[in-house]
Formats: sequence, C-alpha cells, structure tokens
Amino acid sequence: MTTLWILFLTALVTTFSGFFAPPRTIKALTLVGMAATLVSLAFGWGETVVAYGGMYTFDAFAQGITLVMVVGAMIALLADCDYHKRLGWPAFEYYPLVAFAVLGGHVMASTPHLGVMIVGLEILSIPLYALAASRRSERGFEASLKYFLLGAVAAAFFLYGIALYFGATGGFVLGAQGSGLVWAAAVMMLMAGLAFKAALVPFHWWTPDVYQGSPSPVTLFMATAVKAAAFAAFARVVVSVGLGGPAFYALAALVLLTVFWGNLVAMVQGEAKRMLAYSSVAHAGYIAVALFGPNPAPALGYYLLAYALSTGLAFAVLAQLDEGEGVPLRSLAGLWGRSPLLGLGWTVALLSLAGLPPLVGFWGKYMVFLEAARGGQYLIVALALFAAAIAAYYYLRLLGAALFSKAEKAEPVALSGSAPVGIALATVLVVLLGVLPGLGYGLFTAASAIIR
Amino acid sequence: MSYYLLLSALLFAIGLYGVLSRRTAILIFMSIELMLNAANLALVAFARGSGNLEGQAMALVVIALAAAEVAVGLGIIVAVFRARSSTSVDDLAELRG
Repeated sequence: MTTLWILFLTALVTTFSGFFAPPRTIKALTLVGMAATLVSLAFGWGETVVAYGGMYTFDAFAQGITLVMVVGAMIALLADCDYHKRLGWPAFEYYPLVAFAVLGGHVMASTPHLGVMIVGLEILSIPLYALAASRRSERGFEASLKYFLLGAVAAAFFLYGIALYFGATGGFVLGAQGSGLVWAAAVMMLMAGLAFKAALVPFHWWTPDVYQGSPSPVTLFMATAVKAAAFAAFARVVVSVGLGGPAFYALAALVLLTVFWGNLVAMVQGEAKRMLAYSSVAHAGYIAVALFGPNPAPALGYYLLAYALSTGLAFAVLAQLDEGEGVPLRSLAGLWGRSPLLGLGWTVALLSLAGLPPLVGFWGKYMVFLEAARGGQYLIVALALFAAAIAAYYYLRLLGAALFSKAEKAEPVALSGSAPVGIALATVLVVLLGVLPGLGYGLFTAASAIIR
Repeated sequence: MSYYLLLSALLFAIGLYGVLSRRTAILIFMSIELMLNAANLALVAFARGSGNLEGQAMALVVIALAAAEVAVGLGIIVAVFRARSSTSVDDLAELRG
C-alpha cells in the first residue's frame, strides 16, 4: 500500500505545486517521489500485499515491474534537463504527467482484476498521449495523434475482450477458465489489446512513428516504463489462460514475427531513434520468449530491468544530440571526441542491447532463453537466437557511426544539469549488473508465481 | 440475450470498419467510441443474462474512462487542426522511414 500511496501523492503534489513553484522544483519533487518509491519497494521487497478485496495484489512480480518502471522514469527525468533548456519548453506539466503514468503502470501491473487493469492502462496511456505532443511541434502532434488513435483502438479491443471474458467466466478476475467460442474470442482480444501496448508484431506499426516523433526523453520513458507495464499485464493474462492449443500458436507466431521483423526492418533505417524503436520492438519479442518457460516471472522481470537500463541509456544519449528533428546517423559521427561521457554511454548501451557479455543485456537474454529451453521450446529459442545474431549487425553499425567516422562539426556536445548524472548512473549500472549478474537476478527470484 | 450480443458484435465491427476506412481524425475517433459502446452493450447484456451486477458497474467505469479519453483526444485533434488546418490522417506522413 505504501508504494501506491507514495506514487499517488507524488502525482498529486507535483500537479498542484506546479501552480506556484518553478518547473525545476517540480522536477526535484518528482525525483524525490520516485526515490521514495524505491525506498518503500526496498522495505517491502518480496512481501505480498493484498488490498481492496484482492483487486490490488502487490506481489513480488509486480514489485519487480514497478522497480523497472521507476528506474525508467528516473533516467527519463534525469536525462531531459539540457534538452529542455535548449529547446525552451520547461513546462511543469511534463513532470506530473510522468508521475501519473508511473502510477497507472503500477496499478496495471499489480492487479489480477481486468477492470482495474484497464483503469491502470488508461491512467498510463492518457498522460503519454499528452507527453508525446509536449514539444508542440508538428512532428510531436503527428506522433501524439497516431499514438492516441491507435491506442484507443487497442483499448477498445482490450475492453471488448474483458466483456467477453466476463461473459465466458462470470467474473473479471484472472485465473478462471472458460470454454467455447466466447472464451476463445475473449483470450484473443485480450492478447491483441495488450500486444499492441507491448509493441509485438503485427501490432507494432505505431511504434516507429511515435518513438521518432516524440521528444527523446518521452521516447525513453515509453521504451522502458510503458513496455514493462504492458508486459506485466500481458504476462498475467497469458499465464492465467494457460498456453494450451491456439493460445500457444498465437504467442509463438507473435514472438517469431516480432524478433525477425523488428530486427530486419531496423537494419534499413537511417535515423537513430527510429532504428532503436525497431530494436525495442525486437526486444519485446525476446521478453515474450520467457513466457514459454514453466516459471517465467524471474526471467521476464530481469530481462525488463536489463533492457530498461540499456535502452534507457541509449535514448538518454540521443536526447543530448536531438535538436528536435531527430538524430540522423551522420550526426552521431565522432561522438567519442565530442563528449567522452556520451561516447562511453553509447558504446556500453549498444553492446548491452546487442547482448555481448559481460554486460547486463547478455545475462537478460541468457535467462529468457534458458527459461524457454526449460519449457522444452528449443525451436523457438534457436530462431530467437538467430534473430539476435542478425541484430548485432545494426547495433554495430550504430556504434561504428559514433566511433569510426569523422565529425562534420567537431564542437563538443554541451551537457548541463542532471543529464551527466543520469547517463553516468545508467552506464555504471549496466556494467555493474553485467559483471555481477547474481546481484540483479537475485532481486527477481522471489517472483515465483504470476497468478496465485 | 444473444440478440444483444449479436447487436454488440455488429456495432464493434461497424466501429472497426469506420476506423479502417475513414480518413478524418474526428470520424476515426467517433468510430472508436462506437467500439467502446459495443463493449458496454456486451457487458450489460452479460450482466443481465447472468444476474451478476459487476458487469453493469464495469460499464459505468468504462463510460468514465471514455470521457477521459475524449478530453485528451479532442485536445490533440484541435492542436493538429490548428497546426495544419486539416484533420485528415493522410496528411500526417512526415514521420516515415
């Protein structure tokens, strides 16, 4: 309960203090709220809290997801500073919206009740539609409108799935089993609605446009926190309905399409944010691979943390280079010379995303593939591994653009405010959790059951 | 009860068709509202059929959610209209790769 209250009060307090306090203070307040959430998570780690008649079930799995979301939000808040100063929109609304989105994701992750889940989904999504447009540029509006229209369609699918689930089982709580046509349609629609939020192919087509058009810190937030919340709900639905018959083939098709399509299309992109958007689509596929195992929760949570740190770091670096018109590959040239910190962060992030040891991304991939292999799905593991090998090509291309090509303009990148702190922190965590994999994985081993 | 469900499925299909075929943001949005209301109708029909009032309560929650979505969605559409004097989604093609 403490975690829910802290997140709720953070959102509320930052909203109302925005009327008299400057944005800097609001940003600090939001960060304090997130830090307090981390503290409350640390104190209650591993203990299941059930409230409101079981509608709020804060189990170890939900705690892991909340941890990932808070980490993603903190990187997004720390990385934005200089970017906002240069482009001149330090509007205070930005920070409460982030806080509300984290609250929504937390609610969505910690409930087995489908009604509460869709309320959480909307508390998460509605601030994001506004955040995507927060730069008030034409690109931002386009991204925001696309996200809103497609997001609303996905919510409608999810909702219709809920209605059918209610018809088939007579309740809204996950874990019941039904049968017949209504039940099958309910499962498919629930999975489709959430696959959209998690950006699994073929429900991913909004991702590149929205990621490219949104301000970089918002993209960072979408790629980390939102994906974690969507996967929490997706995993709960999939595990509770069970992977028998058509649901198994549906999930296998989603996973394989996602890892191959995401990685193949990423190769031909000429813009760094768009490339990382497709990379995030591909990573959604790897995360879903864990669902084939007998006990997916620890591997899934750990992969989400590894992925959130690495991709958060990559987008944090891009946020420093983005002048509002995206980041073409050539503007990465000579990054090491222009700013050693950005160069180091970029190198570490991409090597970790590519899954090279000893970085945290490698251990994430290792755990999810091991989990699926325990479930006996060797074919899926082999195909996903093959796709991961393809992916190395474009990660190295992105890295090569920063390392080996000469800069057109050699002036150093100006870093100010909290950006260096966020980037340095994320870099250290990616390396540290990679060298000591037990440290990160140990956090998630308590999450043994997704549905009890 | 099955007539109501049939009607609700039909409404959902019409809404989905509208989303796919309309080219104006406002009309797409109206079609989405149709899909949400189809879900509401199904919820209420199932609640009546099973005598479980939870479904009706859920329909009320959904109405509130839809209202919140409208507030933000219309704001975005108005912003797009101010920037481009058009809400046609075909004009929104700046982001591609």
